[in-house]
Amino acid sequence: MIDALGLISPQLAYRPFLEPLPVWDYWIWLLLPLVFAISVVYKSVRVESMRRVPLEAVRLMLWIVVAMAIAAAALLLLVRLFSY
Amino acid sequence: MPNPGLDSAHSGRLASPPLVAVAGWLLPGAGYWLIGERARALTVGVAIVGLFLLGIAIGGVRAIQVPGYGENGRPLYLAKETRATESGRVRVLVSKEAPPDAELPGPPVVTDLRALLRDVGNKPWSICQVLAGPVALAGGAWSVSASRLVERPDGTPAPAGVLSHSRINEIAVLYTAVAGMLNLMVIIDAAARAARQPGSAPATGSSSRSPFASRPEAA
Repeated sequence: MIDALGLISPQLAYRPFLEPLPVWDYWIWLLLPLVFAISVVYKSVRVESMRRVPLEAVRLMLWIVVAMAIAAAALLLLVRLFSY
Repeated sequence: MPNPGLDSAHSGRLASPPLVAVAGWLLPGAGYWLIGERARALTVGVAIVGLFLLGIAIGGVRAIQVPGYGENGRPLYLAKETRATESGRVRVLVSKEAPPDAELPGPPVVTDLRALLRDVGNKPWSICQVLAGPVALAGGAWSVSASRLVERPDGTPAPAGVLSHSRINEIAVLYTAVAGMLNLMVIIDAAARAARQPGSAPATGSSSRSPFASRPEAA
């Protein structure tokens, strides 16, 4: 199995699952799918009616992203304050 | 009174909490499926498996850590080494990676509980990753296989899979570990719902109670 992908695509620059995706310059955006998945699963567990899950998951995702941004800004301010 | 949380396709099947828990580990979301909550099962199943697969797509399959195996995909074995200390020379057991194309010079780490736990401690994210179920076990086997040297088309030996580093590796490990932890939460919730189902099997004996059943309210 390990060589299957290599044999199928020996000349390709990228081999799925065997090489990392070339997204290291955009790493911070990779947190969004993670937050989305956490929101969806958490709301699916907590909410009784599945019809409410999409809206509540999006709301939770926005809350998490905003909270992370605020925390990042606060930590950046702290680092700048202590570095002077 | 109908349960508003159940799908219209709810079949009303009863399943024991342990069975629901095991099914939920074997296939994320299967626990909910067994108790008739199909939409919930599909939603969490797709989210958890998708998150895991996205993680190994981002960082490569070698983002999955496998206790008992070294960086080059060969099993770890226990070796005795003599080390100098302040109180004198002592013999210690250390974990080493087996040499290529040779028998193990010592007992495998997986056969020694203390050494295995020490290696698990070196790869703590593996505990969370394995909670995602057999997809993590299959990914771990692939990770070990991808760590071994193969001959590239240009003749140079190199591991089949590339080991990612820095933020990409951290994010990949985070994706796979979070998928496992989310599955654990889903397993616990599905088992608790199975225990609360009307008509579920009563606990044996008047004093025993299912660990998943909610406590009766005080009078």
